[in-house]
Amino acid sequence: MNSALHAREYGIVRPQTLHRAEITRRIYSLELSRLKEVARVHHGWFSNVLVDHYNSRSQKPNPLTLAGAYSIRFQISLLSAGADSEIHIYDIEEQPVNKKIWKIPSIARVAKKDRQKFGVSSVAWYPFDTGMFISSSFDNTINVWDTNLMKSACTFDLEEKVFSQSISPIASHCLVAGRHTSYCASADPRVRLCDLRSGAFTHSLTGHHGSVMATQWSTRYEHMLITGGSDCTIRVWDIRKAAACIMSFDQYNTENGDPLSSTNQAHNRPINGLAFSPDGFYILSLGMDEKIRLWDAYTGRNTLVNYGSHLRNRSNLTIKPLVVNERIWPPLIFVPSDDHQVLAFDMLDGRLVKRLRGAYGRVTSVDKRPGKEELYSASKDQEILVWEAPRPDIERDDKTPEAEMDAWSSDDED
Amino acid sequence: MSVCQYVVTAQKPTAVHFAVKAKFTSPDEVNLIISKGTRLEIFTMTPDGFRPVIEFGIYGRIAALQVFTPPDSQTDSLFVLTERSKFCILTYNAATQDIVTTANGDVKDRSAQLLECGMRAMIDADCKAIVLTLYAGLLKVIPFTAGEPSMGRATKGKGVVGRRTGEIGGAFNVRIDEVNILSSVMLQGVENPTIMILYEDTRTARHVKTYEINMRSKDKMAGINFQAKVEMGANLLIAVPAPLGGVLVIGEQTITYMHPEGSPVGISIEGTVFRAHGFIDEDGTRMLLADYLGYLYVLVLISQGDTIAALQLERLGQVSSATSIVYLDNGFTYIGSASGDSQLVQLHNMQNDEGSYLEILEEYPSMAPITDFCIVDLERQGQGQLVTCSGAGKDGSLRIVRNGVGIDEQATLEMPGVKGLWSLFSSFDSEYEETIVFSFITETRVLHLNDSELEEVEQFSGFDMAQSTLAAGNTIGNLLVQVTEASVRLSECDPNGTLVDEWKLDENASPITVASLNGSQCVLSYGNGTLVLLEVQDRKLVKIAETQLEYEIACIDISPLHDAKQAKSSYLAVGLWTDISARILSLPDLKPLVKENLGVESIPRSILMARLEDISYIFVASGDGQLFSFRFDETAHQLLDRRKTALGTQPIVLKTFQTGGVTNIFAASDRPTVVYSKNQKLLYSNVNLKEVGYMASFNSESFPNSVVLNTEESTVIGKIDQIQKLHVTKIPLDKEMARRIAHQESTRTFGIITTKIEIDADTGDERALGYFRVLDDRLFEAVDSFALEKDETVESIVNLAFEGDTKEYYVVGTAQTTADDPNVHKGRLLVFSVSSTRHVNLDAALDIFGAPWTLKPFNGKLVAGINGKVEIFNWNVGQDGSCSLSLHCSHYSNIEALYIETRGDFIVVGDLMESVTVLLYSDGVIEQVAKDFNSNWMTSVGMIDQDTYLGAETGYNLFTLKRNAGAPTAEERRKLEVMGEFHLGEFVNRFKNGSLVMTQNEAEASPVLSTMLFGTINGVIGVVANITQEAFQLLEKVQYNITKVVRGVGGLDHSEWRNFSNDQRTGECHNFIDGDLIETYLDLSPEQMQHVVDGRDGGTSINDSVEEVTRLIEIMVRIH
Repeated sequence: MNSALHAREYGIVRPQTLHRAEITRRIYSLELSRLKEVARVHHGWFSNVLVDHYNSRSQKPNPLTLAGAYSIRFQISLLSAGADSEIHIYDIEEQPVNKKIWKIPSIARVAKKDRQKFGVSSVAWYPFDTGMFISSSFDNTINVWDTNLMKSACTFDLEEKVFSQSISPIASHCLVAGRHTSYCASADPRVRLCDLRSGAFTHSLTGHHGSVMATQWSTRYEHMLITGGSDCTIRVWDIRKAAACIMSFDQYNTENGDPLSSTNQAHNRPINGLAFSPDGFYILSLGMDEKIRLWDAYTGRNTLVNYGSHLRNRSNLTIKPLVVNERIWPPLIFVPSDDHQVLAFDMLDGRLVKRLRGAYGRVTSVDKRPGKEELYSASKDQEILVWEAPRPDIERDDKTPEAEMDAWSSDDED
Repeated sequence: MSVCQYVVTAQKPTAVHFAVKAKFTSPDEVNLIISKGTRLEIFTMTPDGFRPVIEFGIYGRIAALQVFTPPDSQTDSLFVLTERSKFCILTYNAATQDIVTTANGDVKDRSAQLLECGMRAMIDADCKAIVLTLYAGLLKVIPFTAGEPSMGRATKGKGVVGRRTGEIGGAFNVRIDEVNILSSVMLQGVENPTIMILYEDTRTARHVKTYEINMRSKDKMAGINFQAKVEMGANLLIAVPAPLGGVLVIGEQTITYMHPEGSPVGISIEGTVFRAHGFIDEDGTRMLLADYLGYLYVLVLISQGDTIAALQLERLGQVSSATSIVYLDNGFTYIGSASGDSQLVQLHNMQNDEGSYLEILEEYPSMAPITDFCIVDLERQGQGQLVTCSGAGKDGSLRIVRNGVGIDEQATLEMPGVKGLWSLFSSFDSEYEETIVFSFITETRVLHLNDSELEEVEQFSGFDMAQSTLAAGNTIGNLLVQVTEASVRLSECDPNGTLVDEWKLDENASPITVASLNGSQCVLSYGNGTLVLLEVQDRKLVKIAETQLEYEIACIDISPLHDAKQAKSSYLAVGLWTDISARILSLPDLKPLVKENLGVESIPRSILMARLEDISYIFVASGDGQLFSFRFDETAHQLLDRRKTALGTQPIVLKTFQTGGVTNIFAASDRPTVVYSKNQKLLYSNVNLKEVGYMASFNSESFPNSVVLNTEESTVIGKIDQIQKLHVTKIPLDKEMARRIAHQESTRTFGIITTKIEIDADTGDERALGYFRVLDDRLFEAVDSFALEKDETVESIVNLAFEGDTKEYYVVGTAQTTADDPNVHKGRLLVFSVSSTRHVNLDAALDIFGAPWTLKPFNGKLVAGINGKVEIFNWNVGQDGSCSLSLHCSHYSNIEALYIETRGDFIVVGDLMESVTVLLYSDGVIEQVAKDFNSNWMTSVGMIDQDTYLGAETGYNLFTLKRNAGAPTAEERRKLEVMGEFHLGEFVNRFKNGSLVMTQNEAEASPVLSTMLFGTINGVIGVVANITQEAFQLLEKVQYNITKVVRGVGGLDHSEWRNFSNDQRTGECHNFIDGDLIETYLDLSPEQMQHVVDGRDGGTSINDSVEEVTRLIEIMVRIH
């Protein structure tokens, strides 16, 4: 460290070199935080935990804040949602001082009467400020909430259970893609786009043959959307086109294959997790065949990176993995797994780098705090765990992360 | 204190990052173009050396510089890329002598990651495309579309297309797989633009790969052209020019030449890291390479037919550690350095005595990088000097920086009541002055140099000693002239000489009021506007002409503009009462030529004609301390370029004097100033004296290059410094670099901690040794040293006096490094004292558990930032005289506590990545009081006052924070509020409260409340001044209006440049003023100044007048 600082202050190396080395070291040494805990407030298992990325974007006006609302500026907030239909917001800005354990409090929650009825399947912050967030629920609705009042500002009724929704982090259009499932053989499962500005549906994207469990907007092109579903396909949509589906991923990279061929399959079993890398070059997909695949977003080809068979993924839930490739080398992916762990793989190599153990239930989602090397993971044991780089000056606790792991789960799910 | 800051550079960047050779100014000239951070300097090569053509700054940090010749052009164009991914193409217009922007654009990608190795711009020889490696996984290609009209509209995410000439088209991306790119070049001699990249894969192996770009399909050609694995230490690619083609892969152990068709040829080298290269021959058969230690090598490509058969490397010698090498011709090579002085060297065919093939012809001083400095007042002049730790590696040095022209006193005389001062040469042709004439109200006294002793003489030649002298000087025929109120006397040029001739007015005429002399003419006035011109002819004073002007003559000057021997002038300059005008009359007929109304209230007290840098000027000084300068166009008989500067409040007396053969003007007043010309611009430099009444030059054998100055109390003879604004003196260190410096007043020493890099001759291993050295603060010689142990590195030093002990101690913090672990777990604090015999004693040592990044005195104790902890240590003096340091209390809440500032009981900590934290010490406990929750990677902190803090971070930004101690909620009290943000564009290493200039006693309240100095990696020394709210509001409007009147080079926008921006967030620039831009106001023409005040072209109108704005800006200029 001191030679790196020395080189930086003399201009021998660029400051980015020290940033990258230090951030890489911290991310690679993530462990369960000894000083930070999230207050336990949920009564059901978690579906989603999300950190807002507000500070990394320049401010844009919020179209939907209710008039007259006073503004509380949440600096960095964590949003969590679960099967009990509760949505909580936590202030994760404070840092522990002098070795005292810091309990991250829930600072806002949705009142019981305002909640969605049957469990929240996914949440998303409005990408440009924390004044708004969006949640999708098994009660067929997508709600847009005003954070200051913790009340729903707008509701979209999709008529079927919604597994996941996604809003583009870069676009100026405020379109939310809602996943729409149907058990009727005759009905067409559609991806529906809800426009936040008008409060109406703009159009639907047809193509999937079963429930669609995961959606993600591209982080590079604002018109590109990918969805993955129980028909084992991952489809790429260009919302500007009439025949919107431009590609269905083929895990075998067939030479001269038709990108829209109906025999193209991305996984051998349904797909329940999708993520884009922040630079928009790679797409990560998780399938219930317990495989992780990395796709080149530019060509749509399977990069054939082999992540081994460490992943356990058999539950019928939408899982949220994470790609971290900003300012670290080599880049990492964090994949929540059925066996109560978050697995960290080298993204380009496939090598298993680390197992983050500590949860007592199936881990459903993981998110990283922007600008800091902190990970938040939510699991079915109703706990949100905080992972951060170890602070060397703090004495080690007796309790090691390798504590007994209960294979037995009290949940009735799966 | 207010929250408004004014930032200005006192010393521009000196580190050279890029240097290129081009035919930029004309097809027949060879130019050297140097980029220093945010500035570009262009020189022309002449047989006498480098002639500066133009220098300018751009609104961006220059990330890449490339020269190319557009197909239909005679001169070269320059492609400049900034670190914010903006580019511009510049050419030179020889007619207007100005830089023209032919194209500009933005290639920023909002999602992709910037490459760690920096940006590279490559242009192919046929000018088909500009290829940029900026982002991981992408190549940005900007095609040249000669002849096609430009599209003119921005397409999202793809880059703005070029404007105006349609020379470049819209940029497109080419996706490549490689993320970790280390180097890239464009292959020469191939048809389509082909890039070769050097990259590292996830298993740390390094490869090269080529991509050929299909300009039609805007994509890369399918299939891989060429791919190869290279040495693990490969770090540089160099493209060999056509017709040979191919690429040299430079590594640490090998150099390999690769060509897509043909097998690689390589040589192994002694391990070293090469950083810079420059081709000697156009075809690339020979090139120069420089490594990180400064050794210069020549690499020869030995060809056999069409291909390269072998390589040969030979070491030539040692220069400064180079970032760029430009071979000019005939062995002359320019070495550009960012860590030492840049040099001009000559390569020889034969070795000299030391075994080197090169000879260093010239060194261009550079202070970069400044890692630390301290402000001291060594000469007790009431003015601070900076001593900086500069240079890196073996080019380390200390630099003493002083502002203003100094007078090195050599003799003092008691002579109160002087009303005039002249010096006389020993003979008309002599260059030495030997006599000083002092004029008083009722008498004249003369001092004559007799055997290097200045003696007063009772009677000097034929002078009338009982009268006040109005003028005195040497004339042709080796005679002297003295003008008194009564007459003009011509005498022999000898102390014992006699009166030769005397010219008297008529009996009833009034006494002579003003007079001026040159080598053969004398002009005088005896009131009521009369003017009489006399000439010395054949040892006689002959009246040539007489005239009468309308008003009383206030001042007069007859200095010749063109006659080197100072003998005869064609013009006469007068300043008049009543109509307050300056007039020029022709000689010898006394015909009026020019009349210029000064437009001020107070009468002109002194007028001077002088020629500086081949431009004729007229200077007029008024009685209220204003100095006017005009350019005198002798053919058109016009006074042009009127400039007015307020120098003080007292009348000014103007005199010319010479230093080193260059003419300068001395303005004697209550703020004595030297006016000199540089790059055809008039510059003003303060003289380090409180006030000067009269002045004369005095260049004699015993007092060479000296001047005589008269102040109220006494007369001083002293040597005058070289004329420039900032004086930098270099104290070289013996192949080591200084890391930190501290000054100890009681022993008059400086303590520095240094690192010396030694290469073990046998193993080639590198070793860094740390030293603590004590230097005398006047001579800067090392009086004693202390060597640290092996693997012990120096981190910090402080000078403090502990409570309960009267001595001052130097405390040095060191860290123990181990080869495997990058983190530091152990270190030491060493307490030294300097004895009266100037020896260093180690009085105490304490082991600590981390690296002591920073040490500061804290209320009689020592506070240290050790890894992530802030700890306070006590000093215990035992009864037997033994002393020790002991830990008093510690606080842990940082990742790494790198920078600490203290005031009272408050400790402000700058963290590695967690911005600023404020701690409070009370009763043996340190507690955290407030924190800034942004993630800023800090590079330095400063305290403006107890509640206002200044921070600098790695995105080259500055920001101010405020602690709200009185806020209602606890949550608000805990947070530091960001009050101001500014993009400086420099990496600041240190802030220190203080000033480079003497504190002036301004008559009115000054807008400047306090100042802080900073030093940066590029060698910039700057000032951050805390200014009042009113001054800020006015300057903010002026700043905005100036950007509308004066456009930046390359189409870059000023406000966008100054916005706070780093990887995490962007913020608008607020509560900061860009002083460099404000100072350009003073260079504007009067109409442009009026435009600025009116708010032309979209500015906001300002209520104040041009004069008021000028006055405020002149006050701001004086802070450096």
